[in-house]
Amino acid sequence: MAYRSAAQDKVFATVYQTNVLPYGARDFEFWTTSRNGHKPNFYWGMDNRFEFEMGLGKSVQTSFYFNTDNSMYGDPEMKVDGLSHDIGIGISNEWKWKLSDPVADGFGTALYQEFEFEPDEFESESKFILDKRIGQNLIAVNAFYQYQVHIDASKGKMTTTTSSPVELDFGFMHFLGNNCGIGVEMKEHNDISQSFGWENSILYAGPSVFFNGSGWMISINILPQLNNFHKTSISPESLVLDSHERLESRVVLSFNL
Amino acid sequence: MKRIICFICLIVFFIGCQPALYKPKEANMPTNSNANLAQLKEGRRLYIENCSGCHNLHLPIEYSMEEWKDNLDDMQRKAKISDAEKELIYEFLVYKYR
Repeated sequence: MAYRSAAQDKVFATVYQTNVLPYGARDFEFWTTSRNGHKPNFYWGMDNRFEFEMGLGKSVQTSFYFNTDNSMYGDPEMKVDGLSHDIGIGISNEWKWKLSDPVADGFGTALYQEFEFEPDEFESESKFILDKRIGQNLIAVNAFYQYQVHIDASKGKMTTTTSSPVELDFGFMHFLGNNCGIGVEMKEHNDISQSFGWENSILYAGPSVFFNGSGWMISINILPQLNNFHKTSISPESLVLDSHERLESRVVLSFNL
Repeated sequence: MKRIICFICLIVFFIGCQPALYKPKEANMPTNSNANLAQLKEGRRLYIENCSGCHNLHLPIEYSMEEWKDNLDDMQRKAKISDAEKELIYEFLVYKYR
């Protein structure tokens, strides 16, 4: 019979779990995230990540990513089709350290750190991960803090801006047998910038499913933006659509190597 | 503020929870088990130590006694466990079926 040990047993597309690969195990993951629905101008973006994951033993794993992000948006200054295109590439390195197990212990915990480099941006992302298995259900919570430095040289001058988004993520998955599950994922994103302080608090939530087999898994979610809980002069509306998407959806496909 | 309180409550909920993987106790020992309490506890320890390194731990209720037997036979070589260790893990995993 097929015993589930596929691709790190990941079940969520956005929310992280505490599990890590064992010593010497390697996974390849392909992520694609579609983001669309800005106002007032048209916007559509697609981010792709190619990830190589490796277990280092002692409950530690590391990953290396190659990232590309492509976006297309309405731009009145463009005379031909009214659209501008942006393409970005970058690399990331991620570390995860599992402290306790979600099945054997009262709850699972892990620490996570990721560094991302792009030609015009540096990001550091720190996460605290909690998860808990209750019968055929898995609950996971992530609290994360990001520090971003963005370099803008578009108008002939080099300027640097920093921002520090804070996010709380929540996932619930109900296992339907050993190889698939259905659940929900939520994320509450808070933009906090050097210039304007706490700008908004945006809730995304939607359905999530996963399937896995021997040595592979796929997880998919669709997260519409539902509300802005912290309205300010920068983000006065109940949805923040000038800088965030109306709809975000992600597919993660993973293989054991 | 309400959301911060909810988040803290969620963390307290996590902390307050018992492990999903049961711990053998004198009070819930089956009368017809092939193993004693110390052996069941050792089986739990071996299961966590040898299996959680490679995949998520599965709950005993996810498989029948026969399926656990097959799973352990399949995984024995990968996990590098002896026949005696495999037997202790098996007895722990199926003791609630007895």
